[in-house]
Amino acid sequence: MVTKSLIQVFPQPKWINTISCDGKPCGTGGGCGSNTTTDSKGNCHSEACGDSNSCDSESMLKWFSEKYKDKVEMNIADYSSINSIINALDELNNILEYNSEELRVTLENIELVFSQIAPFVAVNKVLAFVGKMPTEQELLETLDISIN
Amino acid sequence: MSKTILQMLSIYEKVGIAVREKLNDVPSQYNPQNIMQDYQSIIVLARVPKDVAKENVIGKYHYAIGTIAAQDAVIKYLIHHGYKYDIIGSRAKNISLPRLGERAGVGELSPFRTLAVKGWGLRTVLSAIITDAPLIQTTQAIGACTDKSKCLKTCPALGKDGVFDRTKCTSCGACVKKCPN
Repeated sequence: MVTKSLIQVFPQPKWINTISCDGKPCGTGGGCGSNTTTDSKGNCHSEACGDSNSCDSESMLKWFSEKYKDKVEMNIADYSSINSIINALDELNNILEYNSEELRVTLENIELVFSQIAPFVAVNKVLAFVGKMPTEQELLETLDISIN
Repeated sequence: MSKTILQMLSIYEKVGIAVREKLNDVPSQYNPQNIMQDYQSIIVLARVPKDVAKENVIGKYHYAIGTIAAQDAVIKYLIHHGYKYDIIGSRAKNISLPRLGERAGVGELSPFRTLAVKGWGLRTVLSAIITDAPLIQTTQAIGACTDKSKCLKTCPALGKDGVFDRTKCTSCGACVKKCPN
């Protein structure tokens, strides 16, 4: 039996700042700007987008989890209601605690934290990427290390 | 209070405080009053971006998260004492962080109008906390920007008069690499 790796993603909430690379055609702006190329299917391929069919970084992660569904379980933080935000922050704080970090994110400091450092991406509770959405390759490398 | 705040922010490479009286001559378009009308002090923070290890190791983001935790602690401390605050991020456009850093004793202005910090040269990233708390001015930095010829020689954005022309800056980073401080 293969144990799946758990990827927990805490992106910057959209009310704090608009996420770049949000479904725009490749090479037209935001995270889909200077370092992008177009893949064989005509989709954006950038640091933020991977080989997904959308430039949205969260979509890339969902696509990634689908592609590697036998190896990973992906949880992307839900900020759609006050209760879900509180639950997401509880999860994030558990991860921060596990990683021996003093920082705790609350409703009071959520803007302070996420306006300066986002996303938080944990693989099997270890903070694997902070302040930068991983590429598909980076995620794979990290997963290889954590799976082995 | 000032001492406590500086201790809380010790994770930063350099921290300084500029009080309002030291900033009265700042041009109106960059004046901190644009952010907080009744501000009394600005705490300027200088950090050096750290390369993180590629290995999947707990703690590799400790510095980045630690700086936010330190800011959070200071903010809670200010609120607890009844003061307001606002964060000035490193990309703030309506304020000159290098100028504030110079007045706060964090470093000296380089020929490129960036901040040279002793021991760290031009490599620091600046941010600040503005507050109505009356804090104590820190002493001016000296010896942070010494041999200016080394960086200036490498700069492709020098005008004919030998003075840096910001409009010609290509962000090539030569000044950062050559800074002897």
